[in-house]
Amino acid sequence: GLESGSLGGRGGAKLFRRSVLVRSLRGKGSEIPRVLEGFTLDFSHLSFFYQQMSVASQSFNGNLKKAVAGLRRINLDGLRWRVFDAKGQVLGRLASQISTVVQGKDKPIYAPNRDDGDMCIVLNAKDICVTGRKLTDKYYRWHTGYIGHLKERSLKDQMAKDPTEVIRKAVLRMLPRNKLRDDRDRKLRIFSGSKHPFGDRPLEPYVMPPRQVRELRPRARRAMVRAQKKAEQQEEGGNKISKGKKREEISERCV
Amino acid sequence: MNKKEVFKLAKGFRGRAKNCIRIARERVEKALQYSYRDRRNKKRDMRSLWIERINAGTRVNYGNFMHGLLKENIQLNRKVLSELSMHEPYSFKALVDVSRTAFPGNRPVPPTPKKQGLSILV
Repeated sequence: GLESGSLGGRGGAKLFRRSVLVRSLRGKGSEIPRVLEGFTLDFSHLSFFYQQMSVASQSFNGNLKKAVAGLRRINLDGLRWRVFDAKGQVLGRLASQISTVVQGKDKPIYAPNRDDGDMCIVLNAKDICVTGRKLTDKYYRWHTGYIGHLKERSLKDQMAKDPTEVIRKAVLRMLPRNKLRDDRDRKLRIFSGSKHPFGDRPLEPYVMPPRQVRELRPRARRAMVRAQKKAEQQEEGGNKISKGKKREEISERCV
Repeated sequence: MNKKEVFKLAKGFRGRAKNCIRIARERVEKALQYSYRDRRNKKRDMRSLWIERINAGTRVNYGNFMHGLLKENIQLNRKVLSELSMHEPYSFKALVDVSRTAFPGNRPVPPTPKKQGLSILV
């Protein structure tokens, strides 16, 4: 009825992406209603980002081929480029937000049979945080197919080897396992630093939704108090840093 | 039913299921069963799709939004609401505002400044 008639595949999708609304709103930048803020292009951020990102793109010395690989395969018109800053974010919570954006579930024109998610750029992948003892205790396991060959690698080693893989695995495992999963993977561009070659595109920073952090458990709180006191003493004295501080620092950074 | 009808219904099936009567008969029976079941499933799927679209359209989450509309006794159904959120954003925004006033405490709160260090204990 209404659904199939109004959507009608790719052609229908294009009509809604560059909808009449966006074109009409281009004139008035400040009058965008709040409901639409997430959906239409937010032009106030653009000029600032343009200057910043054009500087960054000139100094991008990573793997340029890998970064722009497969861009031609994606039908890019009407899609936004959202930038996620992973610095200080908790891994799973950030991946959950990225997966919603990549699927296109934050747009009211979502349809499960076509892929309409925005391009997602993740910066500072090496500064991602995890809580608890996951840095040493979280293992990525895979079986090579030969009997007895179950291989594993801890988070710490994976971050040392390739920090972008951590976020990529986290997001991929949150996407639904269907035929669109590979296309959605192509829309994810993750960089371990803060430089990327997409400076010439209209980029939009993604604001993480407000999060209610639970208060520290008593033991962790006491440990942190002790760590704080030691840090204060160290500023005056110059004692040796004990190993137990590492855990508190990480949980402090993530909170 | 006779073979002619079976083959008529088996058009577009894969492999021998469109050509050979024994296989086609099985697949056609299954297809008819699926279509019976899915005529009922379609109504459920469409409703969940409308709910997903409404959820995407509001910044407030879906549950709070519908609760607010219920309080204001707005009888629009989810189908219409999803169409509004797609094609009529301004009207939809008005509805979201109505829901927010009816069911307060839904304004997106700016994140409170984090307390660092020992001040957490205070």
